[in-house]
Amino acid sequence: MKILAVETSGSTCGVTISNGDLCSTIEIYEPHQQDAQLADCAIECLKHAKLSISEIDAIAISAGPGSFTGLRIGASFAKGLCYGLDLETAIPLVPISTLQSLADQAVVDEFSNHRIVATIPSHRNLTYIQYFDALGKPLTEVALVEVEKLANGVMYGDRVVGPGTQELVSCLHAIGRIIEVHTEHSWTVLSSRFVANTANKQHRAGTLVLMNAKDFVPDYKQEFEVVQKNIVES
Amino acid sequence: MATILAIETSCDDTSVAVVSDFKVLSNQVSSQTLHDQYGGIVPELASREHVKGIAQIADLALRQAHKTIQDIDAIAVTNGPGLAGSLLVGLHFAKGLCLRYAKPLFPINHIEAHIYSAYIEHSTLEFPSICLVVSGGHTSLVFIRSVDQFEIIGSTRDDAAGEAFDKTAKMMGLGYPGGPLIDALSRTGDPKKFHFPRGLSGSNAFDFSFSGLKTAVRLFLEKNEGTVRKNDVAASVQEAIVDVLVDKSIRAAHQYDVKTICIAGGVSANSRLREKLLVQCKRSKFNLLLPSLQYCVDNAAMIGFLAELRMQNGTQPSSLNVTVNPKPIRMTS
Repeated sequence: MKILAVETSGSTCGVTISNGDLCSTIEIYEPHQQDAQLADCAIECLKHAKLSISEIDAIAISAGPGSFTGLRIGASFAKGLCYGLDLETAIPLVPISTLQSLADQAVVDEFSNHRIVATIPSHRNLTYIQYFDALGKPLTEVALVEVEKLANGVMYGDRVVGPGTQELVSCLHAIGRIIEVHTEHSWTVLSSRFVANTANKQHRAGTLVLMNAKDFVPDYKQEFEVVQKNIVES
Repeated sequence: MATILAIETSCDDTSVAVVSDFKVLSNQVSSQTLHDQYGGIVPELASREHVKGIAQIADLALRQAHKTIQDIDAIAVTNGPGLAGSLLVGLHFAKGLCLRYAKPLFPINHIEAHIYSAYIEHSTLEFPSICLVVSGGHTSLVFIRSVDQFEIIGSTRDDAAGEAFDKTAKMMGLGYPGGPLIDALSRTGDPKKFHFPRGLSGSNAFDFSFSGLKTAVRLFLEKNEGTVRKNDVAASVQEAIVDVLVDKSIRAAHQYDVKTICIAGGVSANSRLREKLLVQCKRSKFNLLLPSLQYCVDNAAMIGFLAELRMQNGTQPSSLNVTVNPKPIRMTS
């Protein structure tokens, strides 16, 4: 199955094409590049994979949680790529949880028994967090918690992964919980490769969810609350 | 002749249109009503609504035009000015479509599209002309020489005319959006009952100012609320806004020696503005181009129309690394 994977949920702007295994990745690890670079990343990536967009079987997208604006850039772009007036001409969309894509990268082998803690920083000192077992199966729902609270919940031997890793480790030190968590093989950036890997893993397991891109909305994980200062007078 | 799919998501309306050979085949507009309860547009909510519905609205526009995406020659999209989060949705949907179907992309400035929108319903392009662009975010006078040759000769120094309507309505407790509410209330009011300031009306320049009016209305209401008829207040405030707009437009037409005046933007739907401009234009023998209401408000048809004018003029399409440009056109004087 030929998959084009898009990651824009944080400060990464990336596209990966895979055909069971990875074919090509074009990625920029710098904030504020998505608006200008995302389409070019996709064009380059297709060129390196020697594929045209019409040969792609599904578009996988990092569905959230993450930056609201980033999620929407990816979602809008994917909706354009997938677009067809009917289902025959449309390319199906595969939404991939951003935290799941990180957790799958921290799976070592089936004999391990450590937990995986996937973290993505949100605003202020809040962090998205989800616990997984050693094979990447979710143990909890996604939660949005303060870093200090998260640090108190981490246990000896947990394997921490994701852009929130450094902040969590600093916080553990700050509150005097010098416990050993594994971060040595952890990824601290987000990548379209992770999105593609998780899509492939789900495809092999027969759990891949294909949906009509028109119906997709990003998984914001936060209802937007209106406070007076956010109102633009018009 | 070209067929264009146009996308507009600069503020709170999601719009997709199909324009072919300068004719509007479809112009779908989905207006977000969820902002009304907040008395103004909430950018994050607007962006969420755009991304939710954009593909379905494209479906409606193509179906109504009896076209498929393969029939389309180019994609046009608003890339500014407007709300950044909203603009990003339309622009990236357009980029995805262009990449998938190998179509050229024409990014269009929303205000420039408004400037030429009065010509959508007129088969001949009567240039030069003076265009009054009035909306919730913009108030400008533009001298148009021809396609893509125009000069902004005056702009508001503070609030836009639409803001003046909205804020007046808010202060009077009428609701949002204020323009249509004030317009309706004014029909049974006396426009000469109270006098409100006409900002910069004595100046020879073509700039506008509506912040003084806003203050005057606030002070007036603090002093007199409850003892005066709301209809008279609404009509008098509307008269103050309309007088300045009409007066400066007519003066600009004389000074720039044009025969045609056109209006554009949401406030150009105001019935008193249309009525007074019509009278003044007749008196001075100017042609007045009044776009129908669907082209006064934000719409994708005007985006497609300007894109086709540009294609006809030989303008080259943009590469896909074009970005949004949310900042409005501002004239400093």
